[in-house]
Amino acid sequence: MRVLQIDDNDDIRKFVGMTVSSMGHDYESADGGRKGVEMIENNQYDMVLLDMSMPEFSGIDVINDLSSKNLMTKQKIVIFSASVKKDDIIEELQGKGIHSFLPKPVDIDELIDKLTEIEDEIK
Amino acid sequence: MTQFYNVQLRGQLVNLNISQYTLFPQMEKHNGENQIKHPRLKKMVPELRRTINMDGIIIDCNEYYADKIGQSIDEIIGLHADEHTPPDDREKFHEEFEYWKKTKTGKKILINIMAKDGTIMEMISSIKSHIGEDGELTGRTAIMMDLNELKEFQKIVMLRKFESLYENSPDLYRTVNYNGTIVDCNKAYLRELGYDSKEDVVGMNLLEHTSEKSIDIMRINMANWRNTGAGKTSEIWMKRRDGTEFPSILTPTNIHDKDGNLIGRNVVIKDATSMYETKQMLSEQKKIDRMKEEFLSVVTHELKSPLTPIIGFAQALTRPKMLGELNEKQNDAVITILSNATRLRKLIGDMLDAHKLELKKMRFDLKEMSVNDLMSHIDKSFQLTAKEKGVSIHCNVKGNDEIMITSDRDRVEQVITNLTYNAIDFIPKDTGTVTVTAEYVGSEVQFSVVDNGIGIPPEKQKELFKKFYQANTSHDRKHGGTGLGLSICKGIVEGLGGKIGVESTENVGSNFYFILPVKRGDNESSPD
Repeated sequence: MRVLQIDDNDDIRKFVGMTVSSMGHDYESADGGRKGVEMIENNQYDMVLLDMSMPEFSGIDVINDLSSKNLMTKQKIVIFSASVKKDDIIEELQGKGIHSFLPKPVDIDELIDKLTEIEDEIK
Repeated sequence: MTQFYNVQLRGQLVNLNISQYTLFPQMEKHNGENQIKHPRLKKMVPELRRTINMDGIIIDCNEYYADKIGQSIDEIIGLHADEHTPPDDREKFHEEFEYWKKTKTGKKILINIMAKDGTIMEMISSIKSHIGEDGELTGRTAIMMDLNELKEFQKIVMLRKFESLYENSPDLYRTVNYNGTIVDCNKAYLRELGYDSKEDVVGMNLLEHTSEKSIDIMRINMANWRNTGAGKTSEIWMKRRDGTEFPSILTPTNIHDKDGNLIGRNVVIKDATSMYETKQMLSEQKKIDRMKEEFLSVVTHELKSPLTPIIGFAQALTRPKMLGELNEKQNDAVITILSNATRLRKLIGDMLDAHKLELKKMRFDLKEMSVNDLMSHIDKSFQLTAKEKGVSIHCNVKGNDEIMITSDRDRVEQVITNLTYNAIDFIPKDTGTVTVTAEYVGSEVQFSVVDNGIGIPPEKQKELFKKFYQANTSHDRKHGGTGLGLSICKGIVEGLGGKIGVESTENVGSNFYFILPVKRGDNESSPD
């Protein structure tokens, strides 16, 4: 499975990258929203882990941009965020084709479970 | 006891009932009138008095009656009352007179009285009866007031009432014509706007007293009024003579002439400065509240972000498959890091939950869920802790029930986990047990977390669910925490439409229980 993570926090990317790779998946990352959209446009990923609060181009911007480009269904998008406004975000993203929500800070088991869940779905 | 005495009334002997006249001891002289000393006290609506005997013959009257009729008192006495009754009304008068004789009660009636020149006057009349020693009627006195005079008086009263209200009101009054030209205003208006006399103000247009920022609203209001005659209360900034401004609330009332034409409007202007300041303060307060919320949201986000790699890598280190095998000391160090980071994560979560509950912003994601699944999941997740602490923790559904409820699974799990961790803190090592059960109780589901810990003294039990409360402050805080846990549990349970409570015996143990409805109902948002 090919996984893309869009997150501006280097350490979080390092941790997720390690976990994803240790499970035998391909891991790539973008440190900002704009770069993330670009990578989605040019590549085919199975799963995207998307952070919400990023400077300049936020997670919401990414979703809106992908929606307008009809790229939402190309991969399964999991919102991976520490945002307090989880409920608001879920509401805002209602009907946009989001797969699920994974709150930060995440338990390694929760992350592994999520990866397994998606892997099972795309089989 | 009623007393009677005989009095000489203009040559005729009359029996008088004293109780009726003790109020007027000088009756013979003044005929019920009180003395007047004030030089300008005008006799508006004088009382006309006329006394008749049982045959209807007038045996006495006062000067006002004589004046109205246009005859002297001497001319009047001895006439029949019919002489002063319009021919058309005589029958009605006789009927009433007979009725009075029969019942001995005089009615308050409207009657017409005819002057000597034939003028007819409408009177409101009340009757005083005279009763002889034998208890029989001897005659009666009618006390009459001219209805037109009475109405005139009432009108003057009305006008004066309004005038005094207008002139002396602490609110600002101004009256404008169709064009918005001020035709009158009151003292408060002059004072507030900085003018000396009405002459300075009358003739000005109301827009000259309106602040620039309210001129457009004022123009629209006046145009609407001119078109439809309708006026509504509006908030307007007024402008004083010196150019300073103040917020006010204007309430207009239409003025009509006697033919019903709309000729202007009277406006009550209330100084709204204090109201405005309060509003400003409230909106400032709201802004601060929003900033606080924003701040909390940013801070918790910032606190959570570094925890992700801390907890993640610490967990990864405990798995030999991921980052290689650690020696025992290293492993112990990593476990310590992990348990502290986990505690920190819980504290941040609690703070956030408490804040959400306080703002009533916690939302519940209601779905049909299996309580059996939840209980076995929780049971599994506690086994490691149980082993570490050397205690026994069991979590199951009582009997063979399959319990399905519509609720928020994560939140229910949070409450059970919270109560269970609390229990673990207070049970003895090695012999401690915590038993978590779920069962149907009527149409609801009861969850119980029972321990064999130190128990809680009765006086502290009801305080437990209050925010920041710690039952054992004296215990050199061996059992740490923010004191938020139980208040959060209570908030969540109530948010899910349930109740929470505790039963406890010191040195025996405690039972923290909560009851949830099988279905939460239609209310999917947080409770208000």
